[in-house]
Amino acid sequence: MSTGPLISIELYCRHEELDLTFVQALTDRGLIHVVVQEEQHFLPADQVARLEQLARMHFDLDINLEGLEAISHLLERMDRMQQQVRTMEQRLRLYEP
Amino acid sequence: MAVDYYKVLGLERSAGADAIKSAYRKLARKYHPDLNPNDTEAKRKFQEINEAQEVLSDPDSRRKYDKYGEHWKHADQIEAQEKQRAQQGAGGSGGAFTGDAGFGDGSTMSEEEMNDLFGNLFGGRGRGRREVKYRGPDYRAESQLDLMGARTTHQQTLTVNGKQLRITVPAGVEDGQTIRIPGQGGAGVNGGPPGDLYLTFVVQEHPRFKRVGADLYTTASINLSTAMLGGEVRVETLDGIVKLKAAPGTRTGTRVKLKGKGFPVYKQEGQHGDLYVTYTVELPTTLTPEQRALFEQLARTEPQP
Repeated sequence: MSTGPLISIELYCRHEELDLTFVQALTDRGLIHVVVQEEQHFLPADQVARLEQLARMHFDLDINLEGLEAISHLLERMDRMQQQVRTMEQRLRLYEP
Repeated sequence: MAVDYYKVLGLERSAGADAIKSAYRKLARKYHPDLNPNDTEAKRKFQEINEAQEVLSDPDSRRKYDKYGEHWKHADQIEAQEKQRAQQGAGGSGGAFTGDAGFGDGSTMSEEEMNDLFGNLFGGRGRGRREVKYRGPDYRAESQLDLMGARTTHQQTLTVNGKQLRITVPAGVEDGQTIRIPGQGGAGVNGGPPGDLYLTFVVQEHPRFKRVGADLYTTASINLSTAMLGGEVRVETLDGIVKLKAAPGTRTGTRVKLKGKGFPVYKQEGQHGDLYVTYTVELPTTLTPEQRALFEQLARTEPQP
């Protein structure tokens, strides 16, 4: 669930010179979450970093939308695994004197 | 040792603009920080790749690099000195840096290629513009806390790149946890947005408590008679000493859970983990004559194996 203030996607795209269709494509693929209020689309503030990251990967590294989808899944998995490793490290410390 | 930008990008010295662009993208896809979160080695490598690409994709920088190698940044000074010497009739080619000279003459890029390259690689969204906005760099910093400090929500003042920054550290942060503070990284270029600050917490270990998530683990010693007969045990918690009842026949390794006496759960106000207390039965190392007599009496009551 996204939280924080909402940013108009239209304004954000204009400011960042980002193509609206790119944001739409990311939304359609479930890579970012947008909020619709009175037929206006908004980006929750906590999604901005995610959108910036995806835009960097797409425009700077030339990764297409399918690639972004695959990478996002893998990064999420990596994040979960890092969390598991951290928890296991903490548990191992219980057995150290 | 000097870094060879061509080697960094895996290129021949005769590589053209397209080859540089393609090599950069290939390596950037492998080492970009977005694809390698929390990997300092990848970040270092990416910076190297980026630097190589920036130098080699700019015809003027590349020409200087090809001629002066690692000293390319001083090319203007060197050339000015050479010119001065030539005018004074000294002649000769600039001594100190000739060792790195002799690289192949770099290919040049047309203005169109330059625009294309910079527009695509860095500005991304600002295609066709002369002046591209760059987002400022992200900063990374570390904050050291002890376990008791991580227990409460508190204000902390950090100095990041000479700038004082006051932040709120939520109770329950974990060792190794990174939070993002938007807009507190380096300033953007040409009106681009600032980068973000990524702050990683290093929570020191506590001599009495070990932490797994929001749960805490500790040990408590009990003497032999309390272990056998049961009784009261004093146990240290984060809130002070509590008295627990040990059941008769408590063994070393017996664990009891004190619900809600653990660590605050991150960003879930009012919620706490549990405290697990593991008993260690302390055996006496020396006995008084009276204790010895009592143990001998006890031994006679025990069944023989």
